[in-house]
Amino acid sequence: MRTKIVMAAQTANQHSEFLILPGGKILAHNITPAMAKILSELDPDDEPMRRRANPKIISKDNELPS
Amino acid sequence: MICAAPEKFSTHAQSRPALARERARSARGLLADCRLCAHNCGVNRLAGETGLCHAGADVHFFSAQTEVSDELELMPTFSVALSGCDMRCDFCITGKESWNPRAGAGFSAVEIAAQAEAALANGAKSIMVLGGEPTIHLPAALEFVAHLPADAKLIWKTNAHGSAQARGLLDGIFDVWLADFKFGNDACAQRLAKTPDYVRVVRVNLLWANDHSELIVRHLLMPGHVECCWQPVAEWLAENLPGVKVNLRSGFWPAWHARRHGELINPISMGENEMAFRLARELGINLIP
Repeated sequence: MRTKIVMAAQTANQHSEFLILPGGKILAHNITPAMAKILSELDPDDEPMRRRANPKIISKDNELPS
Repeated sequence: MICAAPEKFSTHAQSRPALARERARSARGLLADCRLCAHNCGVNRLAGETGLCHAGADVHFFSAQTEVSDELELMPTFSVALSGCDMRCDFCITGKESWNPRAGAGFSAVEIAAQAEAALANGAKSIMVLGGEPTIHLPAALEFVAHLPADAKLIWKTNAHGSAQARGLLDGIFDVWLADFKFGNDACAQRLAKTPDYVRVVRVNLLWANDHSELIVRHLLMPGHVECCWQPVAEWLAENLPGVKVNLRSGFWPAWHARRHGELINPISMGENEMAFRLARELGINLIP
């Protein structure tokens, strides 16, 4: 597998970086709340990202997603 | 070489901001003979000399924003990333800033603390100081804490390569140590991060951090390094820090100079990822998301 593209998104002194793999998987770091919402909307089935996009719904035990 | 016992600094009943202010003064003076990290260079940074980290007395930062990338129990966190690092990880995801202590903008503890306080008011749960490696900028990091609310939850994100002197200055300041344990053997640490005596130094720091604060250990899975790095890390954690929270991260990407190393040109494979998590379960590692 080869990496395809690295992008940085920056607005108003905030930035996130993400790497899109050929298979469509997206790796990200420095995820801001706004970027988490976008990534969550791109893949609504991504439970971990949904939890990052909506931090208030995190349960106390913070169980690992299956 | 580092001393086993941290140096003693004042811990008498002071508020955290007052304690941090006092420690910041001590730490700044120690830059004249800098031994904050385990490289133990002994250079006079106040006089313009630089050691392996290339940092002088001034401090730059390359990011200060609220993020949701970190452990779920910590986020949202207002993260302040100081430029420069004492390690030279070829795969560093912030290599441009971590290898250059003059990258980014000049750091003002007062201004960034005001931003952090505003972030707390807007829902951030914690404030994180990271790098690069913040240990090399201890005076500024402590000055930053001195300007933060006394009850803010503070996280020290570190490569765990600090000295006994640094640990003494940090004692009682941060609520959580979020510490990397990147390599399971010294050969990989030397080859990929130009850091000698790595494993011993990190172990000393982790044991100390566990005794003096809450500790969360991070390990970034690297392709081709599950057996040589993750396995010994996991086995040591299981034996010496049973139950410690561990965030096993599988988001490696071939950043910075990773392509200097053949095994690091790709993300972690699904097979290696599964092997790593299976090993963690078998050893009873307390994984957190």
